[in-house]
Amino acid sequence: MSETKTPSTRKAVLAELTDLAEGRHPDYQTITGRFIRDPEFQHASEILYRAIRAEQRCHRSGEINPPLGWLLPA
Amino acid sequence: MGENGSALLPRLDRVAVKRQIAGEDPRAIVLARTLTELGIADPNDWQRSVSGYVHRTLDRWIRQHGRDVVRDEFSLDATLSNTTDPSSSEDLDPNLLYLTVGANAAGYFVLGPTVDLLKPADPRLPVTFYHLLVDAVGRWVRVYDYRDALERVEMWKNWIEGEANAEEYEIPEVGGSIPAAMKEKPLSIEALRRLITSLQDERIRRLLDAAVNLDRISRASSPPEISESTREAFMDANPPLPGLVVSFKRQDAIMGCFDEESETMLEVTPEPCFLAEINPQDTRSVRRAFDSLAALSMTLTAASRLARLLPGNSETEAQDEGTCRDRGDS
Repeated sequence: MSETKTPSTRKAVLAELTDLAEGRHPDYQTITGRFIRDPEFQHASEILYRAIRAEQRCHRSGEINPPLGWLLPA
Repeated sequence: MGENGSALLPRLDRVAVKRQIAGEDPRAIVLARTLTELGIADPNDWQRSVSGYVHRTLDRWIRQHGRDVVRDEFSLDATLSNTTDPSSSEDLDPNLLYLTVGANAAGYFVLGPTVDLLKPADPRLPVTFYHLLVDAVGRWVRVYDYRDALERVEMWKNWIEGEANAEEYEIPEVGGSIPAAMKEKPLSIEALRRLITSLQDERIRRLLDAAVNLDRISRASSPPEISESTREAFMDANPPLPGLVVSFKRQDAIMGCFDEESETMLEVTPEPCFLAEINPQDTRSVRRAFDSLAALSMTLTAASRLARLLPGNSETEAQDEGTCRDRGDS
């Protein structure tokens, strides 16, 4: 195939694929790139997301007036 | 919040409207590298997407090994995935990828006219030719033929056995659709080669040469071995969908059995016709899988070329023959 036809292209592609395989590719140096590659990063983000959601739910709750005739807690 | 209770909106004019980073499977990245090292992938196909690169490599590989000829007679799909189950995305093995080929539809060969053509040359020639063709294709993709139809009939007979109204069931007469010549003993390949050299009829010689060539290509390599753990994934699967149906007359009892059986073939996910496990880090594993795919493609290419030589196989030819017969009768 093109192995002998385009040795420089082949070398460049191999270098880029090696960078990708070893996490050294420039795309992976961004925070999004690291997020995509790192399962712990993803897990930590999910925990944080759930915590924020739970917090929002707590703050959204309002007081409910007791039915008429009920004694208020002491 | 801004000052004095006012609201501030963030400015977005310096932020990219669209940001896209593909989360590539690490196995796909390693496979892409191995394919490039082996010279199977063409670096000119690299467009900075690993999955796109692997896809183009697979497509190019199949095209190089006869895709356009195969398409004349067969309808198959090749897939490279982390699972063998098309309805699931879960890994079967975290270290492996799977190269599978499945049938979208079955090709159809009608061999009755060929049997009639070959029989006068030697009574054992039709069965010899039949097995060369069917076994060569069947080594790589499932072939549905009279043996499957007979099995189906036997199963129906067992089902209705003992029923009060058993005679009311219409069971296809498959036995009547099988030419008597199929009961002969096939010739050995050496005996066939000797016979070919003595034949005068050029049309028969070309047919037999094509069948011998198909047999040779099919046997040049073997389908890949599958590990026990992968095999277990198919314990509850249906048999592979046939890539080819062979009968002796158009719409005969064999075809009738196939039509009936095909209605339930997708009730449970079928096994693929072809499966190769790939360890992307192992160059031998990647080479073996792609070489096997090439062997499958080349076998089906040879079968498609042979199909062009089969008398009465194409529908237009069959219609022409029908027209000729009508004219002869009148």
